[in-house]
Amino acid sequence: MKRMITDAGADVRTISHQMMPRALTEFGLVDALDDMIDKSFANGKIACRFEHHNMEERLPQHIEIGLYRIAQELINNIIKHADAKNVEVQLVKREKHCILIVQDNGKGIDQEGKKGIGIQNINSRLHVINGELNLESDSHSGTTAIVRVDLSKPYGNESI
Amino acid sequence: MGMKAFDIVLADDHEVLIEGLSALINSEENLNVSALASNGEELVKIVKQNLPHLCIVDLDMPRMNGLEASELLLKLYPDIKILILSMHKEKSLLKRIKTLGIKGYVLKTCDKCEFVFAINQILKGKTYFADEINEPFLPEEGKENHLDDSNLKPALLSVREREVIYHLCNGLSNNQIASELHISSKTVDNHRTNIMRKLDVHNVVELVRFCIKNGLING
Repeated sequence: MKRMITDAGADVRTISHQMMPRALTEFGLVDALDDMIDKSFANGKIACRFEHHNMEERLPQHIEIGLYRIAQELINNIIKHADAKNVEVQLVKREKHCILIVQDNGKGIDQEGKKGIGIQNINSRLHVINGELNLESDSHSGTTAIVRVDLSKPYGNESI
Repeated sequence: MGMKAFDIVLADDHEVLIEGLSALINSEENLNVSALASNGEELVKIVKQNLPHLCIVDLDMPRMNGLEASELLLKLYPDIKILILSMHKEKSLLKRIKTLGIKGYVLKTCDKCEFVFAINQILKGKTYFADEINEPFLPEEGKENHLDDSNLKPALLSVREREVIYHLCNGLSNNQIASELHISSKTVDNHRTNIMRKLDVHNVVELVRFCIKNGLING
């Protein structure tokens, strides 16, 4: 019995580590995304390139967490459904916005996919960080997800 | 003779491990373990009393972790030599470690030979980072030829197309750009096709990359 409880404790710890990787709190979004992308595509079936511009300064914590989780969700969707060979992740800070682009060359998402659980998760994250998602998809060129976060409002729509 | 050349402080919260490491290091004729610490705070305290030639530091320790302790020590003694010994393989960690000025990193899975080699390299004033984590950062893929004509391409753009680019790089959708510029979404689409053709890019990611590289948008 005691053993089981210890194991459960270890599981919870692992899960919460996955939820909030150390790199994210300690080193910031760029490094955390870099690690997450490395891990997600470690089996080498999909090539992924990550680039960032103007991201030397840290973003507010809730935005870093939100963008991290959204990127994770988008990447999981690609791995599960997109049938893609190449993925590009781009993170750019502009004057008042932070833009995250996750683009694949897979088979595109249909209307059904646009209402899926993954997208719902993304939408609830977006709400918190004052962000919007712009999904472009077709069966020839794959899917481009563009997330745009307004940095001029210090706090999101509500706190969680 | 008889005097060992180098003093080493070990910091790790696992007692068995630290005893083992200590014995291993002491069996080398030039190395001497002068003190053991079981957490970061203790390490800092020990080093303040007696500056060793090298600290071998575990990352995951209670009270003050290895990274925090190293950062503090490097502030106090910028020339101090630190070798990190850990299980972690994340690239971000390695980057951070190098930025801090830590001289080496070995994984706990390394063999005795590698461990001793790392210690001696650092004592000689060199660095040592384990192969497993020391993959060079990927060079920029498909590095464009600097003699290409990409700097001439922006000259082909119209004022309107530049406006569309500005909004595209700000993450706006065709519909949003249309209402921003008071034109139809179809027109935005045409501009977009022309922009991609003129700049010889094929998607938004390439467009943003091109614009940043060529100063069409600032950061």
